[in-house]
Amino acid sequence: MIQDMTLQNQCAVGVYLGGKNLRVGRVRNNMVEESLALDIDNHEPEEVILKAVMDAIDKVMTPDVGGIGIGVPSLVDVSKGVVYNVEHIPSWREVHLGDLLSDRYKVSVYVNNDANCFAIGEKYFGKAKKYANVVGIMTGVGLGCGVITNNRLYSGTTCGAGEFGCIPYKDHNYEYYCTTGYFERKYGLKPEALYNRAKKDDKIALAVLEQFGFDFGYAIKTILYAYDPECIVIGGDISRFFPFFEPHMWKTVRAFQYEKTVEKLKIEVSDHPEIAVLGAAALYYDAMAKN
Amino acid sequence: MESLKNVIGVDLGGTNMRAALVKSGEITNKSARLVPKTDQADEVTNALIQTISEVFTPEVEGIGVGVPSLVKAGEGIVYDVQNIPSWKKIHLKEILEKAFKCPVYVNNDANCFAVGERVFGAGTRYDDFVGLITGTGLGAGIIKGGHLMPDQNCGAGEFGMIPYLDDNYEMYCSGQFFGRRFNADGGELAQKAAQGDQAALAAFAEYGQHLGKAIKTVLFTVDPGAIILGGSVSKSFEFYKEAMWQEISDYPYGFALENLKIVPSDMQEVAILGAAALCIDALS
Repeated sequence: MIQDMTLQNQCAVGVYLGGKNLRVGRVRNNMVEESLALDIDNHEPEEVILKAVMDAIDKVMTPDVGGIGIGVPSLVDVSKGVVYNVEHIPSWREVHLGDLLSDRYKVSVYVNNDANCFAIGEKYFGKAKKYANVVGIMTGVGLGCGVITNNRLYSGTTCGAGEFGCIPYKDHNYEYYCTTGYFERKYGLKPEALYNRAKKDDKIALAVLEQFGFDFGYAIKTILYAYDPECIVIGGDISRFFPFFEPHMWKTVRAFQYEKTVEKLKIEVSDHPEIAVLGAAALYYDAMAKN
Repeated sequence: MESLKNVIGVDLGGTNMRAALVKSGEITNKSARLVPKTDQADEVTNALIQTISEVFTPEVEGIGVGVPSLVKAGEGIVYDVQNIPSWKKIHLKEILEKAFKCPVYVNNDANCFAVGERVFGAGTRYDDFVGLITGTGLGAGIIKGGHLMPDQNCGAGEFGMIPYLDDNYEMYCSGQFFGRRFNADGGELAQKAAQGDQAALAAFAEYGQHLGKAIKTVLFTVDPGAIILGGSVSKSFEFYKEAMWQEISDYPYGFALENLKIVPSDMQEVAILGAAALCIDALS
């Protein structure tokens, strides 16, 4: 199904707040037409960080902006626009972002977690455009997924859908085995070092990534059992390792017991450099889209 | 939109095929026969058409069929149906639409259960819930925004297949658990538990712990507002619910639990009514 693109002539602001890293952009016609990225001190008090966010939005805000979308790595009450216990920002324990920003800018504000933003961003602007049912996997330090069904973002009742990282696997859970931290925990290898060695065809590095692909394949199978999507898009720091673990991942996935599910499955890697801002802005387009 | 008033619900199991005429949520006429044991796909198809025609009337506005298999929902193609070895790939929707000249909707049995609960059962109270069948197997249908969540091949909600301990959740959370673990039948254990038999109650407590783990996986993936339990084991809900909730209580996102409802289905004939509800869901 091809979505109605006309809505995207509407202009939206996307905000991504990832700990020390703040990115804000204005999106129109499927492009980021103005943006800024800045470092913030994540240990500042709540109000100081909030002001930094607002100052940044001020710089890209124009009168024709229809809505603001914000992606935050935290628990989110989507309907109230409240974020709880934001990762890497200790002072943000409960911030009513939705109300604060809609009071100031007089437009609708959509708050969601970063994995959900990533998934809806890929649906609107990235590798998943052609597909109605999609799961986006964000893997770096943590592992979180966003779920698109019938072209719409599905956040669950308490924004907790897609937490595949928390599902038990072997003696821990998928987050333990399928994130970059595993390389260091298990093998004492920093991701950077592992990457460089793999590029040089280092046998040990390739074997590490073979095992990783096997485990990652199990995470994919669990996603297939839960959602049976047409397309899975992988983003985050793990993406650069994908060429090394991809064949081993597929070996596990192809052993899936329902071959119909795997036959047409696409597993892609995100390659849009501005997906964080685009994904946050896509929250607005998703909210506007009619089912 | 007006919902269909006269529909036929068909429950195609591995052993029996059953069809019923459903008017405004009430079953008014039923027919059933054994699934022919044959390697000829046509024999099974013809038996199914015969079963449906015994309850078919000219006012019927749609037919819904629940099948224990993967289904390509839009096209109504069923693949590798459990216990019907001749059905490798059957264009069931097309075949039945040709035979009965009305719209036909095909989906897997777990999805039918969820839709049945949504349209006729406890699910009328919830817009987002998971219908979890705990019978011979463990499967689920996901209701999102009041309707069945679409997917690629009706393969979503197969939580039973997710790896768990030395096997998968199905082995620990379906009726198979009692045979494997206690060499006992779940139904007989339930009778003993009802009489206060301590060993039977302990067996259900152990079951409840495993089911609680499966439910946490449902919460992590789908985060529904409610879970409606169906299938034969759900009839023993009162014997295992305490252990189940105990296991769920350490779910890390506590506020998701505050409003979560977990209830057993109280519908009779939910398989047939669920298949009938497919029509109503598809057209509303």
